[in-house]
Amino acid sequence: MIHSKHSPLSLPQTPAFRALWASQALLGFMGTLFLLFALALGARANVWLASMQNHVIFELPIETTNEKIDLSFSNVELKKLEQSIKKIDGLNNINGLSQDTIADRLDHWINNVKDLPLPLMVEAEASDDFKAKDALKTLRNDYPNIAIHEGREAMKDGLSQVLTLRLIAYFLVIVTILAGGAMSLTAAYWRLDVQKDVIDLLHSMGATKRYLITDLARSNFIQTLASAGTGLIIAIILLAIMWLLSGETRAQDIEILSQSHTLWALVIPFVLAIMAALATAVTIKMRYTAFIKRGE
Amino acid sequence: MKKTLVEFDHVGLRYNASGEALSDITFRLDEGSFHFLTGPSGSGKTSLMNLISLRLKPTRGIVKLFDEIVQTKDVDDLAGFRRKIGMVFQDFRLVEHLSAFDNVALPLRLRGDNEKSVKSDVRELMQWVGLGDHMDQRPETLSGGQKQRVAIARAVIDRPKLLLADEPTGNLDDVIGERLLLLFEQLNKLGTTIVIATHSQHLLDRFPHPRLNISRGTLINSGVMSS
Repeated sequence: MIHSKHSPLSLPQTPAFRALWASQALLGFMGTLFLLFALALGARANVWLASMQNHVIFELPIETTNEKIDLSFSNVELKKLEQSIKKIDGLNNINGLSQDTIADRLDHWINNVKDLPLPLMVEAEASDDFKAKDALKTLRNDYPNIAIHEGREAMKDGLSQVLTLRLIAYFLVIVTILAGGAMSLTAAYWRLDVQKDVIDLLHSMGATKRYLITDLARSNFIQTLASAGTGLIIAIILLAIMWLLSGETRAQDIEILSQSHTLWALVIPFVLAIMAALATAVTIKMRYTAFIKRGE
Repeated sequence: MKKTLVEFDHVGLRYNASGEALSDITFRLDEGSFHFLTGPSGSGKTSLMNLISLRLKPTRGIVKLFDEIVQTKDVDDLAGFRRKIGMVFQDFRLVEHLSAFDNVALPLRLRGDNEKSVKSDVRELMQWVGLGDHMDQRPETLSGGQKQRVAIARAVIDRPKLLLADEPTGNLDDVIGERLLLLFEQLNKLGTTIVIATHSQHLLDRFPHPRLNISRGTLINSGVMSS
């Protein structure tokens, strides 16, 4: 095997070669962003699921009369509600929330929350035995307005949107890889066309078909790995800069640049390079006859 | 008795339906012989060279190289045969993005020689052909004569058993042309069988080696050829 810097089958540095290089770098860049985005969405969805799916909240709205807020709900009533809930099967860690706790939790979302009629709320952890419908039926005997919010149910829409976005991101990763494959195939044909005289020369010097296939595929692999790898590095640098600059917008929460995600992103240039090598090998195998088999 | 290196028996070559480019070519070249292949333009010299170098497959007849019938050989065997043949092309066939040095080194690197011996062998030969100061230049910066010398150096660098040269001195002045023919003669003395296709009457007069004369695709003097 000839070292790549001496290889007659390395591509000459023409404008067409640079355009190919830039296109592969762009695919590496896009593939990295899409994959990191998909992985981050998946991770976020898992965090939400783990923290919320067993979480149940019982909510008893405050009763108001003649636009005057009735603040008659007291700790005694909260304890009473808690006791009723404790009788329901399949619930653990039952905890009544004070008005102050509720106000603190809602403070991020609603202005002047303390001026509003806050409901009585009891949170609990549900086991698999818990049946929300049955619990509601039992509790409504004493509390006709009570509502039950299951974490799983509350998350359903949001989670479904996140998972759809993740699916789209993975789909875009696949499209990027397929585009890379199509580009590699075109590049392999172009390469054969550009280098047919060199291939013919090497053939007449006694280079075997296997040598030609291996050397061309290796050359394409290295070149694609370098260009797509450059795209990956640019993508990671860009994300790191965004991360550093976006402290106040809490973009860190997206977890897009976690170590394991970044390691997974390395797959992109390798997949593109392997596809380039395979496309080259298959193309040469198929087109070998047309180029150099006249003497065999 | 000398070993036969190349043997053609009623060989024909047809490119298309219009007729044979070469017909009934029958000759033998002994190992260590030196021949000129002569004939007017379009007579079939290049086609015959391509048949001997296994770049083309005959449409009829039997071709034997190194005492073996090549038509029965598989692809890898043919590659092995080609490695024993050095070829100087009329149009040089240099790899444009490699330096003159790397072009000459190509057969040695294909063979898997170590880089140290490649460097010393290539430098020595390039000095000999007068290109010691042009080793790092790309072919596009070399003159026609310099390119020809690079092509010749590349063909002889790994001491082929059979050297085929198609108009090797076509772009060279007589002095350099004679010098290269002397190189071919030295290789011939070392055992390399040589066939040179040429128009040059000067070379034919200056170097009185036997000739294969071809005209309209047919050898005029066929049969056993030995120096």
